[in-house]
Amino acid sequence: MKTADDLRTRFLSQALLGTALAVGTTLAVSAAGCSATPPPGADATEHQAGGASGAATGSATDGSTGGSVATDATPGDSAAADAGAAADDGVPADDGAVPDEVAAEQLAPVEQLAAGEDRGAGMGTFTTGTGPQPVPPRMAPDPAPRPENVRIEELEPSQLTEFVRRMQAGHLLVSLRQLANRVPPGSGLTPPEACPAVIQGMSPRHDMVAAVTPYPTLNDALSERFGEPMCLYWVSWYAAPPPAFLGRALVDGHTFVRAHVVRTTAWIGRTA
Amino acid sequence: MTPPVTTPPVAAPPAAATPAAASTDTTAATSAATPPVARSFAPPVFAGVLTSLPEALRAQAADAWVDAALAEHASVASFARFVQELMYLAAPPELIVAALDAAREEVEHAQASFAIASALAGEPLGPGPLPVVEPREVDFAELARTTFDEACLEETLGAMAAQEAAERCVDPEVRAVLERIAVEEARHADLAWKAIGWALASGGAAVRVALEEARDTLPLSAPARVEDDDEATEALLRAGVITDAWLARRRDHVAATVVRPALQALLEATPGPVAAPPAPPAAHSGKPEGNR
Repeated sequence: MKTADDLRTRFLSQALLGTALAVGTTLAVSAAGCSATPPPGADATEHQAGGASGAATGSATDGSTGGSVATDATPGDSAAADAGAAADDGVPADDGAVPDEVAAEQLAPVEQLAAGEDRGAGMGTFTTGTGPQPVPPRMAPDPAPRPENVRIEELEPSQLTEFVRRMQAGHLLVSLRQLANRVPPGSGLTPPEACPAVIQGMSPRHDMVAAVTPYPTLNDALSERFGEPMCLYWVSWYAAPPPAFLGRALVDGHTFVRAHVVRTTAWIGRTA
Repeated sequence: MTPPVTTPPVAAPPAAATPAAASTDTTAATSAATPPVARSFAPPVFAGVLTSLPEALRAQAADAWVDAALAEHASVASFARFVQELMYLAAPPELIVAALDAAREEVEHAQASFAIASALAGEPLGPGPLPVVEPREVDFAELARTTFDEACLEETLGAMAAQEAAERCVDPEVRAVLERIAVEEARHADLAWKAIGWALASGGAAVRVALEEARDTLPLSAPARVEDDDEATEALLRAGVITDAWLARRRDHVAATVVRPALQALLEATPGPVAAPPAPPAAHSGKPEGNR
């Protein structure tokens, strides 16, 4: 058992995570690294783990509770991540959280799915409560990832072409429909309408949603590093992801997985 | 999660003499109108644990492990009710899943504890029927208050007790059980804190008032040093048993140095007016830390 100081920090972190669940913001933690958006009223510098420099304080006793909110991040940490601080896996460090509006839009397809579900199925002796309700995104069903989804984690940069081909064939069940609404103003990213090939290949199913990171500074850094326009995609699973993804963060109750850094020229267009 | 009620242990029938037949004759087992019998609740077998204990201490330890097992067993129902309460308040799935996980872990704690108790008692023991736990239509404030009272302090104490017992226990198998319980009870405390944070952010001023009231029941300070354990307590610790006296000596300390400050920090970190901390309770006998 840790000291009283450790326990206080641990429990306060957990409680703040709870507040974030309620207000719909993202306070993300993971054992490997943290990515967080503070709840309203909280100091962002206290909760946002700045990529590689954000320390996961970890569970006091078991190491399995997913760590706790890093408190040592400084305002500069996020910027450092944006500048492309590289993680061990060679993928630039996470630059932080997905904004609320982006997260909400990412989850929109889940709501669409849920609307068509028979949510009363299951244990027949139970009623379904208060009847059909608008389903908050985080309460949507969580289908297990399909085998073909898992393959994304195995992608190497050289396999991106195949990734796109499979997506266009509908095999990867990736929806980019929401990207049009997800590209934040001023981000310098091109809406997906600019890439008809991808849209044409979009699967009507929404098992996964790809979302572009809204941080142009990170994209700029990636582009500089790779020598061509780049942007960072997020792919969300509506269930626990397979282990060993390159990077991940818990966002609004869902596990967002950084699928890969992809070439925007082959993907959805170009950076501004 | 503090158990709502416990049930007396029931001696379980001996294991089937012919496991192969028992495993195949399911028709007979299910169709016979046999009354419910207490079964061993304990897949693990700890036949040789704590054999070095003196007989009297062994019996005492067996009783204590039975009590612990029953508490763990009842905690399963307590967490099940907690799940219902969370769902009644449309809690996010993170909390529901964590509560279900906690309930499952309590089942395993009960199994392991009954296994140790059975080994010490020399007969298989398991739980009797548990009375139905009445569901509660709680509001956010009630959920926060009951969770805080039942779990934020008690689960922390439970985790600390298990860890302490693990460090002192002379039997490696029992120690392993205690170490696992310590880890998982600490995780349950995490869940409790996360739940009250969620309730606080969801339920508004009423939750804040409830938590401020809960905070004010806890001591502001505690004895700087916990008294040493007496010989009897030490002996039971070697059997992996934490006594009520051990817990009582530490409760105020944990409340004052961990739970109350953490809650105060939560209240200060979340929007809303924060009431000034009250004066120390007059009845509190602990020596302020400043007098160390």
